Amino acid sequence: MHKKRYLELVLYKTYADLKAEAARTYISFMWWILDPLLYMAVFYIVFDVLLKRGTDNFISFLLVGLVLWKWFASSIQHALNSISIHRGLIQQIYLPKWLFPVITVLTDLVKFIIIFMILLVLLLIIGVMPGIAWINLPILIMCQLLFIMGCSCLAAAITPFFPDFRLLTESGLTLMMFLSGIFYESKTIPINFQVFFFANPMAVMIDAFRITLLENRHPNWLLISYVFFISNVLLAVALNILKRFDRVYPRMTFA
Amino acid sequence: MNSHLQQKSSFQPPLKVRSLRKVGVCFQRRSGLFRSSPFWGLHDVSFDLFKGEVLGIIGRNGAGKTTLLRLLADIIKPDHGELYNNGSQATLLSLQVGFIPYLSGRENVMMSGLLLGLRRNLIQERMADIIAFAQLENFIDQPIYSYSAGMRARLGFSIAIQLDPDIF
Repeated sequence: MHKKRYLELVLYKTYADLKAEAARTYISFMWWILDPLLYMAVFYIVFDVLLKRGTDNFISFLLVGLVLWKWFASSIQHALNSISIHRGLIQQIYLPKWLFPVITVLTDLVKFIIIFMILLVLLLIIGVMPGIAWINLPILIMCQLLFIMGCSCLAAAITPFFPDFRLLTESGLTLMMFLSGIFYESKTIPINFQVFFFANPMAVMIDAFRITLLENRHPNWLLISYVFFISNVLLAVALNILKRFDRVYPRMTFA
Repeated sequence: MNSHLQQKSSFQPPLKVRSLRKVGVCFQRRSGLFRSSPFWGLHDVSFDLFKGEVLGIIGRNGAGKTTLLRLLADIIKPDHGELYNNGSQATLLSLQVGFIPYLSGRENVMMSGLLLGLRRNLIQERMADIIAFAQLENFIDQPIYSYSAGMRARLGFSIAIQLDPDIF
């Protein structure tokens, strides 16, 4: 009974937030296409035109990493404030607090799917051939989504208690970006450091997407199941915190 | 309801919907980096609320009226004492809750209704009534940032009266 009601609420709120976001600008949802194109163009200009590092391989290699990273980073940043933005709401009516990060993750998922379609088109234009390994893409996307969901819910759960966490995340995300191998190949890491490199789930996922999309090979399923496991742990911890403090969040000052 | 009870002739005690025993709510006021001092917004509040009763709460600013209502509506939990809740729904008078300015009146009815606990089918069913009651037939597909304050208030009110809470 309640579950269905919350499902309806989550889906409608996702739709409403997306529509409201589109209505705020002149060319509305065209931004969801233009924004990632501009983002990718910046890196194309820097690496291909200015640094002349642009072999075809490097550009496609870079784009895959950037698209995945952007999905992760913007999901976290949006989920971070999801509860405090709705403080007016949760002080007036009872709502389970897990709704809010789930809604922002879904809005970011919709935007990611559009960006991912553009990425696939660009890869085809560059000359990447689709292969049989591409059937793994839905599994990889699901796994990535689960990891994003875990991190987002955790970020949303603890930010109201430590508003300072917001400032930490910015540097944290930048550090993680450079550790996730967006600009370099995992092969360039010395063998004895690879364990640490692949302890970072984002590094695993970006590598797996590249292997699948660009080399048409199957990803390392052991590493993928490690990400799957970590994501479940994160999500379980986050949902527990959200549930435990469900009736404490409305009393937070949200500095 | 009352006449119905009297017809049964046998005495039935009125249904207790909320019961508070020495309830207190404590807020932490931060006074330094690691220091905070407790502030009891509500302290030792006890009363029973029965079905059919009307409860009025009067108090100065900061006396804890809103905090008490939030306790009754199950939005927050007490830090001290016991609060019995028979499971009945309580709603604060929340008009225009969850309104998004860029969405149309119709979409905001759906959004607000879902947040307040109505089901999608039900809202769809009553959409025409809600719009008619708010007298907004000509503007319902316009974004509500273009509404006047009065129009928004009418829309919020016609959604709120669709609710059927046990306590309000």
